[in-house]
Amino acid sequence: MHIPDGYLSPETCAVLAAGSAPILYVAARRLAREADTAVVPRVAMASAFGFVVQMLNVPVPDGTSAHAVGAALAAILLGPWGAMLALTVTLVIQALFFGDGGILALGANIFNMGVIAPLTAYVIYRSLGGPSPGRRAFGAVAAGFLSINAAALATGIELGLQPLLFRAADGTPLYNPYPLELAVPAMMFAHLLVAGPVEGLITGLVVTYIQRVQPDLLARHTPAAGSRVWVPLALVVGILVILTPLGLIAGGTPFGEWAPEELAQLVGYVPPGLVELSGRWSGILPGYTVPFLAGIPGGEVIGYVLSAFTGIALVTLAWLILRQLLARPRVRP
Amino acid sequence: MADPSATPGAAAGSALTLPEWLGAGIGPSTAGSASRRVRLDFVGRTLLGTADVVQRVLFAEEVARQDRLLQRASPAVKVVCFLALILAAGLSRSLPPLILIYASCILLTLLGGLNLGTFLLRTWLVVAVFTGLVVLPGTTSLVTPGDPVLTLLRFGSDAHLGPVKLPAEVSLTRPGLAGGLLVVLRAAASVSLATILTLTTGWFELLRGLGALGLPPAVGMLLTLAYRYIFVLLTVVRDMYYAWQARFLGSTPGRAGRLLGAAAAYALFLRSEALAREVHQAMLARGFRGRPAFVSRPAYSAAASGVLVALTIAALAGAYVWG
Repeated sequence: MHIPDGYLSPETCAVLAAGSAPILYVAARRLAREADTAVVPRVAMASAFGFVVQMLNVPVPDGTSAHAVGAALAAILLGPWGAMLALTVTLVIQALFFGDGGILALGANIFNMGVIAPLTAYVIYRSLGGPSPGRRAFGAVAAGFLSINAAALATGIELGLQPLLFRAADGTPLYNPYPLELAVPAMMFAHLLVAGPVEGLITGLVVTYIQRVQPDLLARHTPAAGSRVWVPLALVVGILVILTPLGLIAGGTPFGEWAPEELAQLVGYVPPGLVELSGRWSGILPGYTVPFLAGIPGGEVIGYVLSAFTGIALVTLAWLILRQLLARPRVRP
Repeated sequence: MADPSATPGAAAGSALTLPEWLGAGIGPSTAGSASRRVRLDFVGRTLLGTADVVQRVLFAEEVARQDRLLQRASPAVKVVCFLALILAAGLSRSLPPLILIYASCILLTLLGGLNLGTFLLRTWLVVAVFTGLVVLPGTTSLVTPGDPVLTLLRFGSDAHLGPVKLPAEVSLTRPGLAGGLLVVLRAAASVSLATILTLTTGWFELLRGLGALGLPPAVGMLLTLAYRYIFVLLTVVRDMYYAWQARFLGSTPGRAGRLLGAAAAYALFLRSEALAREVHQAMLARGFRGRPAFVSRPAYSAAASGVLVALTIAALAGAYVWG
């Protein structure tokens, strides 16, 4: 699943790296709070574990052998933040030294395998796994299966967007040539039928074994009730922000959002009120584009993501101001 | 991708010389009866995997120690130049700039003292398998419609495969071939540049270069520790699997093999946690307060760095003009 250089445009890689950076920053801050100076050796050893665990082959039922990616295992044993950092360091070492995955594509690979996979695994394991050994094993199998498929889906979408967003003037695809309708099924077919079951099997095996010999290892990363309830929301919103450029695929104009020229073509005339009012305010980022990015390759994609960030920042700011105003204690005269 | 491609024995005077038995390709014996194949498969594949990692690293260190122009250049300059070329390859949207960048890769290969034939064979093998085969269907009219260049299959206008209607013909198209060639050449340039950079720059030099460019020292230390202890954990895995191979007698142990894999992962995790504690205590004992310090700083050749910068600027300028 390591994407090599050449399949993704540098713009896509930059956007995905920018999407991963704040999540990894939060992960590093949280881990530093827990471990102080011990954070560096802890994450380093976890990364070394993440690298080496990918080399452990086990026999699979079809008579051959296979190894796991280890994202779910890392999430279960290290917790989501530790797993994200460990897998990121592992991916950096793999790309820089072992040529596994491209250097420009590192941001995309970190987003898929270092962020999406462990987060999905942790959420699934926490949701489906219970206190009983059977539930834990089931949660681990589901976490392994679904996490690798979530990463594969993200990879398929990123690859599939390339021919839609990046083509030469004569229509030649500049990067990955397969559109969404081919890239996503191709990725999912292999992962749903082969890689996913293998990942689930190996994750389940290891968790079952640990449950038998040292169950307290599995109880370490249980969050306290009510703590950080905003984290899942922030992650979902973050993923939605990254996916906003999907709007570029949609053709035409939504009903009721026509420009005066489009309306003139549709109904033959433009109402005078619309003519008067439509030009008064065009917005800070008109049409979700950033003026200084116009003409730059991939500027539309970056514009969409920046617009999403700006919108969220403004809404959050407005909410914070309102909260301050409404929560202020009243002083009686 | 970081496979060795240096001339054997070229590292005269090197402190590290790869033993012949490692270069010849080691690994457990995979010969045996059909009933033992599964056991040897998973044990053998694991042992071969660990040996391959060690082999790659030792070869890369050996090449990085050669006294060639590329190895004498400052790692910071090298990282900037190679990243600029990889970015230029990524942004190139036509063949001429990519051909120019790839030509500069060949020149860099020679400047790094790498064996050109072996280097080309290994990098193109990677590109052919991981990019060429994947891109191949994309060059046909099934994926990229356009002017047909060569007709591969003719089904006729009313051909069906069960309920699926087949196209009248399948052909290689002009935009498909152009796009495929772009992707393959871009991948070849990126793979070659990454390989030359990692082969001619030792890991610690690479981190020193990244550090000079603003990589936070803590991140550099994190990568250094992780990299170093990968080999400690690889030794743990190797010992476990050799012990298993030495002790196990009997027929195909599918279930037992799976149990071994689970136990190995568990033991590996415990070992990594114990190592983290030991390393942290050792760091504290040496006065670590959160800021790492690197000691020796070897001298780099300004002339070699200048040649590399000049070559990079020439390649980038040429790519810009031709692009």
